[in-house]
Amino acid sequence: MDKSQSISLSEIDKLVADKIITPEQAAIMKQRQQSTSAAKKQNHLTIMLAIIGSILIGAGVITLLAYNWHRFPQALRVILAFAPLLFSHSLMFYVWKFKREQISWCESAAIANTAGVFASLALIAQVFHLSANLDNYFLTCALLILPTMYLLNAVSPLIIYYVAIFSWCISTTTTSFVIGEYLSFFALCAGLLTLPLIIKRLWEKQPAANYLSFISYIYFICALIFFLVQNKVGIFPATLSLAAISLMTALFYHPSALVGPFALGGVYFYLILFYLTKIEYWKIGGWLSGSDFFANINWLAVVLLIITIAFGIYLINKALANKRIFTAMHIGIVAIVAVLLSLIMYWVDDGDNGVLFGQILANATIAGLGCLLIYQGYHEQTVNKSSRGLALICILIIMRFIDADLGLITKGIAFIILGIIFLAANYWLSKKIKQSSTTGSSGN
Amino acid sequence: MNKNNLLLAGLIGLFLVQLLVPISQIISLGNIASSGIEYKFRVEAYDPYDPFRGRYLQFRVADSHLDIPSAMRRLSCKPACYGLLEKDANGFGVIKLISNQKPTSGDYIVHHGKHEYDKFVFPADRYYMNEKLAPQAEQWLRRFRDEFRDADLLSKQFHITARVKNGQMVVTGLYINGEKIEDVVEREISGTK
Repeated sequence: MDKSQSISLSEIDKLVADKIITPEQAAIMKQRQQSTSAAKKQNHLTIMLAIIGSILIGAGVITLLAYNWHRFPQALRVILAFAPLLFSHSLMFYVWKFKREQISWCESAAIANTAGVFASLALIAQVFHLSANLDNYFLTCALLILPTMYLLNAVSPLIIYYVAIFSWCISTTTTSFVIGEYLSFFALCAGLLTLPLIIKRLWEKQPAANYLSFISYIYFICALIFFLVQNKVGIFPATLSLAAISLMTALFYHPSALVGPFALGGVYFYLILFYLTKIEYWKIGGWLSGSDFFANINWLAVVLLIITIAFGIYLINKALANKRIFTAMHIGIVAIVAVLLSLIMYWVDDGDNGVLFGQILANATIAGLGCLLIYQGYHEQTVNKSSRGLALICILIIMRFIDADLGLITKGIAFIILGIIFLAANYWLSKKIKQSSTTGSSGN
Repeated sequence: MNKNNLLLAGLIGLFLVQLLVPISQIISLGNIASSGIEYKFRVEAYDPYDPFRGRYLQFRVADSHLDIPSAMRRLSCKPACYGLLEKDANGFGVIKLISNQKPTSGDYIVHHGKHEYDKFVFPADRYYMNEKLAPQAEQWLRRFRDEFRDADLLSKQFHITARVKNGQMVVTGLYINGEKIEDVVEREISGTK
């Protein structure tokens, strides 16, 4: 059953209370609901156990062989090197023939094949005392397991694939003559190769959707930052723009999600903002490139800024069309601030007044977004949003107090007062929201 | 061709590719190991651990080309550099010449890398051993190090044998005082029991 269409047990009780359905119908619905969720949990558990089982069997067989490995003649060792791979092939064929519809079998076979490829290549390296570096070994294995994921419609080896590709790209940048720009482009393309699989799984709402969203999001963000940095876009403005795009996506598409991948990326935007509220922090860690941005124009940096603005405008228009005024304002602030701060980073050097402007902008943005969230929470009657706004302002004030040259007693008293104000404001807001919702529902 | 047959064809294709990669490695390395020219190299060894591929003794081929001018040793290996091999009076392999040009005659070892090196970097630097034997071998190495503090003296105790062909090398054995390290360590283990 689609999650959005499912109905909670408390809602079923409400339907009975409102006399929309009879208690008998409610009992049937509850039973059905419980059996569906139990089946889902069971399915996840089966997949997990199957994967763990496959890994343990593989590890056990390898350990047993490893104990006597050096006693075997070279020819036997070479033949044995193929055993894990051939075992995984037979398992894959069996799954394809008889268990194709069962996700747990497909995932286990894919993991077994991944382990088989890694083990076989490692054993051959051992037999011939190969010194080939670990990253090349990872890359070969990653490329060999990619088709397995498609053929079995399995995603459990995806994380291994991403780690292998990315570590190869990073390592090769420092140890070989291959140009970093090409490697970073390869990292992006290697990620794109997995997209059809991910989209299919998410579209069909099959298990492991959260796992897929998180790992693919993390991979693509890392690959994008790597690509931008290799193409001479500063790491900080690149990260800031990507975090802003993440935050705008989360604000528009998943406003209630706190732990979704885009929401987590969005949190990074706030963290950067807080970091930039202090002028000293601008000057350490290479935030300022100080180059003449318009004289040495980097077109990729310009494209990134345009994408940030264009995506912001697109979402603002959509939000306004849906009458989500606060969301539109929030997105607008994020897009403009991201672009302005990025420009300062590209343009300004240490001694410039631009840093002061950047610092003021970061402080003002946090204060402004805090106020906006408080008002939005009050207006939409959601304490959660108001609390987030209050938290933003409180953290900002605390940071400025820590900066200020005040005694410990003064700071302590100030923090206590601030805490009391925070709790009182939260209490007052929830009360107000409750009151207005009661008035609203009695009015209706 | 229906979807079922297409999937089966894909599966068979994948099996073939996954088998061909290790088979091609084995053919290429086996060819070097069986028909390559055998060389001995003096080495200095120590013991690390590879979490994916097991325990091995890492070695470094000791200075085998000291007679090469330092300017030539700092040659950039872009896209590759070639070390021409010869045997010294004691039968050990030494690098006689480093060049960006592929040698037209004689045995050579090829190296690809980003940096300039003070020494020619050999493409082989590890000798895999059994989990049980490797720690014992490490103890041996420590004892030898204590005994022969002079690096030159130390390297005279160890050597590897390797087969070289078409610029590639495959290590075939690691020896202590002319005896295979596995035999030495096994005898040591059985002697202590």
